[in-house]
Amino acid sequence: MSSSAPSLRLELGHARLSATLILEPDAPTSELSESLVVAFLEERGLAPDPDRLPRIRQLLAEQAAAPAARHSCIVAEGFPPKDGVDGRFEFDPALSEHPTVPAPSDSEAPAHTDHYASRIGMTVREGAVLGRVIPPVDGFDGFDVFGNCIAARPARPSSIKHDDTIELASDGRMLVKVGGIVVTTPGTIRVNPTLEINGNVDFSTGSVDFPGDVLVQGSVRDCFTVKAGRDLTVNHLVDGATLAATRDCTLRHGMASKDRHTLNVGRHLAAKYLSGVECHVGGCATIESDISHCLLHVKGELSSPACSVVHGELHAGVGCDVAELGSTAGVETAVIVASEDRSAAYVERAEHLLHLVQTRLDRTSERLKDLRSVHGRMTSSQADALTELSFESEHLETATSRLKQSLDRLRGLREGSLNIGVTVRTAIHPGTRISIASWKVTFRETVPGPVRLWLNPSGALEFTNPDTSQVLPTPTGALVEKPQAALPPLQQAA
Amino acid sequence: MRILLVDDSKTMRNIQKAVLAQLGHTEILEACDGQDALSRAPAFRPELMLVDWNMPNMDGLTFVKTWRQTNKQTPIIMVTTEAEKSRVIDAIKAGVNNYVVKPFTPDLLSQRIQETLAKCGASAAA
Repeated sequence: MSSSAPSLRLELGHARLSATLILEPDAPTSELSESLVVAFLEERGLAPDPDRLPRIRQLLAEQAAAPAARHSCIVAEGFPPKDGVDGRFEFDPALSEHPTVPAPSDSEAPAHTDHYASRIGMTVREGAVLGRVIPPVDGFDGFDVFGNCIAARPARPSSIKHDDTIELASDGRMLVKVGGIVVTTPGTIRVNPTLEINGNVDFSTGSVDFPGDVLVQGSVRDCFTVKAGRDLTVNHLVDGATLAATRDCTLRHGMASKDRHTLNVGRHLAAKYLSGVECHVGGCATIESDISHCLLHVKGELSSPACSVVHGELHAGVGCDVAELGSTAGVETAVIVASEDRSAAYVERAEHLLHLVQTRLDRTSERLKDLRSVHGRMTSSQADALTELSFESEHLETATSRLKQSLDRLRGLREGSLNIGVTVRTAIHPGTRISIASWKVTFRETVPGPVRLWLNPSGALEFTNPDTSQVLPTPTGALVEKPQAALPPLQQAA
Repeated sequence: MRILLVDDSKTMRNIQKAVLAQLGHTEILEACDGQDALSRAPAFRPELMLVDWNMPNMDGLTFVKTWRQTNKQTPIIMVTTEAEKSRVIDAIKAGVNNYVVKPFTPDLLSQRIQETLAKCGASAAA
């Protein structure tokens, strides 16, 4: 862009941020003067500039020295605007080191590569800092050679959107509210609390350690580990793998391991079968068909009326209901129920404590009665003693009432725990040992079902028919060992 | 709230502490007589004081009189066996805000504390 007089020309730079005065060759020197040039530039509307005059003089001097040449100089400069910087989201640097491992190159995999390492993507735990929203930074306006404003582009806040799995703190930190896998799409970020693996857990996925629910549509292969922060579901087979679920675990088929791989479940377990597994269940377990060669610890109840238990050890906190124990081949099969029942000891302790408190309360009440019967004006020490005793009496009454409530609850619990037992629907085979609390029964011959072994309210072991509750005689093939100190009967505790 | 307990009986201080804890007050300083209280109170700057009358070294009444020479605001409850009317008037004149006569129940002490705090809080606000 340029504007000109006969021998003067003004050329504007990009965005009018500079103006160059050009003196054409052979311009008539006599006509050119400082005031003419200044008038020319003012006429063009250039913003005033005190530094301009010396430059004009310099230009005219150069032109006078070499009139045949073309001369130019910058006579005005604007100021470019600085655009605002938009707000943005940045991942926490610590997360970049998280195992978001892409599939390694097959040909150049280093020798130390852990082929079992996770490849499931960026996972985050509840409470973790996912990243930070950087606020926008404002720019500033510029101006052109005519003094006109050139507006800076305003800064926009970060447009990233998140759902309620993420919380934006007032300081801009994005905090993970629900553990899971980070899912990003253009402009959005969220955490998916469920990890669904459409195939198998194998070398394509690596081992899985996920803070939320895990659903494996395929199988879990040998030597891989799957840890779920909440529920774990596997729809096909589990080989000799290691599984852990903080809450429930469902194995739609089963788990078969040769080397006693472990299965740890925080709450309840449901599986078709277990074979060669060391399993710990925090709640109750339901196994559909078989438990073989397992070490199984169930804190609650094993409720599996169609399941055969062959070889190994089964520990159940409350009791179990199974189809068959042991096998006709006489393999050693142990069932241990309620081995950790300490309710009797707690009841005894609470009763003792209540007795102590009650005695003290009686004594305090008696002294209070004596002091209150004092006639006339009380001495200072009597008044002090009366105050102390009334406080103590109130404190002891509260303690007595709380202890009685606790004792009632403990007795209720104990009554519940006395209802524990082992129910076998089809048969108990030789080689089977059953322990209920301190009672032990060893089976030398097959005992046909249905049969239930349980502790009656007086703490004695009984054989009954679970369908009719009819008490059965102790089978001839069952050797019963009485405990040295059985639980005291409930009547005594009451 | 900072509360100073002045009583020569440790058991009585414990009882008062238990009542105060039930009312949600846990910032408590104990003194075993008036002299001990005078040496500790300025640094502690109590917002309520429970003072016994009969104590060795310096009794509660002398303590209250001395304290009131420099501090007119701190609410003071006298906890004592001195129930005679003339004695109560002496205590009020010395600058005591409320009075609890032994033997007392936890409920009574709790009621007096709340009363005193409400009254003194209201007058401070006015």
